Amino acid sequence: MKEKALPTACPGCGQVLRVRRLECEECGTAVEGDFELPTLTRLSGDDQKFVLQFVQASGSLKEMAKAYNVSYPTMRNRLDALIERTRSFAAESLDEEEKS
Amino acid sequence: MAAEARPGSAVWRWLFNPFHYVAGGQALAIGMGVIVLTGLAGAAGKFHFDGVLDFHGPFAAPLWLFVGEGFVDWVSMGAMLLIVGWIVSRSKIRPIDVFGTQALARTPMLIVALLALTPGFQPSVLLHPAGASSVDLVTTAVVVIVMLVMLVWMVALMYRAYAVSCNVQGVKGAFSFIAALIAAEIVSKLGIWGMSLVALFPSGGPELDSLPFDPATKGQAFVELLVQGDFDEAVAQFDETMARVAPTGAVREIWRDLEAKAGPFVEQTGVHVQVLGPHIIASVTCRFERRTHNINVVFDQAGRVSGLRYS
Repeated sequence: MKEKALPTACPGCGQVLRVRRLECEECGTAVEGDFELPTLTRLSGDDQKFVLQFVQASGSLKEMAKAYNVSYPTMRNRLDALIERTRSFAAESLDEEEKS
Repeated sequence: MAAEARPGSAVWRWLFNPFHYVAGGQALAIGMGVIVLTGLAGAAGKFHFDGVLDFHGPFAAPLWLFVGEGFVDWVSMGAMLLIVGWIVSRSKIRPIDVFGTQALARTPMLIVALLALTPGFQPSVLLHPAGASSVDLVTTAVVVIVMLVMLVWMVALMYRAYAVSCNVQGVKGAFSFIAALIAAEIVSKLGIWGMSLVALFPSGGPELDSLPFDPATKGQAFVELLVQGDFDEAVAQFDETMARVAPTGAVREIWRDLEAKAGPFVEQTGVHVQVLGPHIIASVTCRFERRTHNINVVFDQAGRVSGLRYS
């Protein structure tokens, strides 16, 4: 079966989606509320794979560069861009909390 | 990171941003090899890389100066980019990435040094085209255009190297790169000027008494050939490189140009000899109607003329 990407932004207005309901497939129990999507799920599919590989490489940019067949600074720059994105997600969440 | 879908884009990337794939120690090793080879090729054609963006020739100098110039150019640019990178970048910068990628970025200068060895390439004909063969004129013009293209390519590579090694882009990247380039050009010029001074006062070199010829007499006799208009005989005393880059027509034009600016030749008033590495320079002071000039005739140890300048 083709892998489905978890949507994180509203297709209507582009705002970040929130989780309202979670269900158990086994027993049918459902949990409803208002939950924020974890930061990692808001990253693109490629970025999520990158984060997973980075952890599996014990945080070694050298190993990651070898695996991706690019230079060390290229890999470092990608990590820095990812850090910036996660920081901007955190800043957005803080803004929303302050507004509410 | 998405894989390169089109082979063409990978080729384009290797040509204009090889630092996506190569940086650090690997780039440094390749780049230093390129700098050494550039110096050796430059020495073969007496072509100097006397500034981050400069190349001039032909004129004689010790081999170490040709190679040293490349290293000064590289270190100047690397150091300036490291400093501006530390100021403007928010990333952790590794000096080995900055210096390694800058060394590799100088690869187009190796092509320039090899182009200077093209038969028929005579930079002097562009300033004094009369008397030069049309083949040499066209060859020189084409080579100079290709050299300028190589220069533009090198600057593009230097910028990409900086962008990757320091993680700086956009307006901030462009302006900081330009500032570093200007500073590096000044620093490299000062460094190479200092090296040239050291080259002017070498320890070692031939003893004047042991030479098979008297440089003072030979230098004055050479200038006399120019005064008499016997340019064929003058060129007959050139070494191979000089004969290739400054044929009879070019020498005639240089002398006529000098007399046009300084007035007709009046007399030789003196000669001073100095040793510069393996080269012997006879500086013949000449009084013209309006000015006095020193004509510097450079000899190799066999007494052939390997350089000619006036100041």
